[in-house]
Amino acid sequence: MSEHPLDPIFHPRAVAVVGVRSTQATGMMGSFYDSLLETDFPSIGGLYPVNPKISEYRGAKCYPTLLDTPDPVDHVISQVPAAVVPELVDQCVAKKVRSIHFFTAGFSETGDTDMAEVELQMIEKLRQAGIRAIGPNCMGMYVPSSRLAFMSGFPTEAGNVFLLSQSGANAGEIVHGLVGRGVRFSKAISYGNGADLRAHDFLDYAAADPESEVVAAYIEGVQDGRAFFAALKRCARVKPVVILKGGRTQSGSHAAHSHTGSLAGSIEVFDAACRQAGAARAETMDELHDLVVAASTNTRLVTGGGVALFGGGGGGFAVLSADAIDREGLSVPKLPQTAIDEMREYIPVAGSSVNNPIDAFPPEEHLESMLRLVANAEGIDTVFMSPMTGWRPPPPGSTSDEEASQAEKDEIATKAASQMRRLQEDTGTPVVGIMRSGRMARMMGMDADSMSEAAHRERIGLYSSVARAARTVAQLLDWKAYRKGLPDIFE
Amino acid sequence: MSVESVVNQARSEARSLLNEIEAKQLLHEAGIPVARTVLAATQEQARAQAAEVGYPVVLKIVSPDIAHKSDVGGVIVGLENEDAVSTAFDEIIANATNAVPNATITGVAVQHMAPAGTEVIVGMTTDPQFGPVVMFGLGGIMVEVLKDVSFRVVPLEERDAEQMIDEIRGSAILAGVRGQPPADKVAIKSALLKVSEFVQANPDVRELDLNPMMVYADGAIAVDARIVIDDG
Repeated sequence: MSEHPLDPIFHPRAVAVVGVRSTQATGMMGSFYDSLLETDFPSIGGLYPVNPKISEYRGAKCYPTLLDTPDPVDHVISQVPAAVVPELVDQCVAKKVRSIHFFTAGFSETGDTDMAEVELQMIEKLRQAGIRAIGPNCMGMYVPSSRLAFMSGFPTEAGNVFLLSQSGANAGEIVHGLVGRGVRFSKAISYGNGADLRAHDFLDYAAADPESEVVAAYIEGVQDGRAFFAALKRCARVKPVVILKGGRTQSGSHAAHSHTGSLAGSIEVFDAACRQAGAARAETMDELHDLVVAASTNTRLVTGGGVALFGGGGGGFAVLSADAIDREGLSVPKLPQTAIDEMREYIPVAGSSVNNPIDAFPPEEHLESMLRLVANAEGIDTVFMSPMTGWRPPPPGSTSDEEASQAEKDEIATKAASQMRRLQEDTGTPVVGIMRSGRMARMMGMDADSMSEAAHRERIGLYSSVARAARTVAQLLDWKAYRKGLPDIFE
Repeated sequence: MSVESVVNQARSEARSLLNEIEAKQLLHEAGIPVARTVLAATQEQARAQAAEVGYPVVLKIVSPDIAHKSDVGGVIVGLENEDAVSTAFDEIIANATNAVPNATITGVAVQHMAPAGTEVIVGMTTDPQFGPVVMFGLGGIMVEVLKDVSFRVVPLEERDAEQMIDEIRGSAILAGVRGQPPADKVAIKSALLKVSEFVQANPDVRELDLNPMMVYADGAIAVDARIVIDDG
């Protein structure tokens, strides 16, 4: 556990959900109590629903007010309407809670000056009582090790990625998206208006948190730009930080009297601040996912742009793949003649290519020898490969629709992933996995979800296309280049 | 000339834009290389100062009411002797008064004309989120059309300045193309770092342009300079 002053709020002994719905609620957002039941929070701490209109909620005693709940309550989740919030704030002070998360919206984000003032005053009151606030207008905390979750379907298994997000919807998108890639989280925070705790507080915490090794962020507007930049610099110095910035504003300010002023758009300056701090900036949600996968797997070990592309896909697939790699400034170098000659012994078949890209299905007994040959060849910095499963086209007349059982899929995936891991360990050349999704994967006898989980467990980064893998590796190499002079965080 | 006194003078005249003479003087004192430029109120002064800064010279209008000097015919370059300076002085005053009839004319700036080099822009602006930021780019169309520039948040470290120079798309031009000698990157780096120090020490400065700055195989010099201060 971290010594950081914010640490206790991630480990509440009991949680009160104030304003649980008196009618049957549906929908993903705002069912905080249900999410905490799903993660079985009651197995480690008190969970108290509060609503004066009902006496029971989901089979548990429902309390009329926060003051009626048992002591202690460390964390409060506010689902009450904005008008009731000032009263709840007074109760939090009386109850001596540590933190409050305002799911409640309708404050400064509305642009209404009166509500912005109410927000300011309630935060001031909480601050004086030593209570920290998350929000308003946000989803709050996901902390698997403390069984906190703000959405249904979040795994209780903890990982090493820390997420901070200004948007609740995008926090959910990032968690679900990355969980599907096999990533697990130490903590994820949606902080909305950031009236009290905001990006720089969470970056500061993430830098110190021993459970967090990679930091992902979704940010729209930066509050306290100087404090944000200072915290980003400290955090990115010691851990990989990947930032997706939402909301591009027009280039240049209208009031500028200088050339420089007219050229300094918010996104250009934000991008520069990220580079200066040593953080990576993702342009899209897909890039954020890919860069987090890269930073939390052995993709991060790639040091050069020479790619060996291995795996049958056919001539056209190989051509487009080589183009995609080239487009990102990486290369598909020709292999030395000695390596080609050796491979020819394993693959005498006409119609397959043993130069790079290596478009061939070697017999299973020769597969690993060939992979080693390629990975060790001069000029090769990384091997891009589709998971090899020993799969063969089904004999004519058999039905291709027969689904393998989940256990079989997992077994195939585990075998393929450990093969990739072994190759990397034996040769020292990072292996990057290419896993096409959906029907294309099934045709190859693979289940993309099983494969993602298995690959990530073996610390192999898996990407849904050669183009995305190439872009990720190129961004990683650029990231490493501008981090020159800063501590090596990719070892 | 202290920054404070220049800022106070400008504010007392309700100006947020320092004139070229003021800007260059402050930058010179901050150790940033600028082309020597002095103010002449009369033809006679202009001739004397041309001899002092050294021929060839450039004459430019100095007026709080004229921001874009070239647009009003307020800049004449390549003056080689006294007669040319006299003619140019009158012409500039006439052009300026024609273009902006009620303009206050502070005088005419007499500047030694720096030889052509690789034109770059070094600047600073105040970002609403991050505060002061420094910019670097290649001058001329590279900045006008392609907006090929790089930024860093103040204060800059050496590595920041180095990366700013190498980060622009046209950085190969600085390495020397078509037989040109490579531009002095050390001089650019030094200018970037000094601008960072200058704006950090002087929070009244809101925007700054050294545009263009001529970079040579050995050294660099800002030919034009602009400083905008906070309204106070």
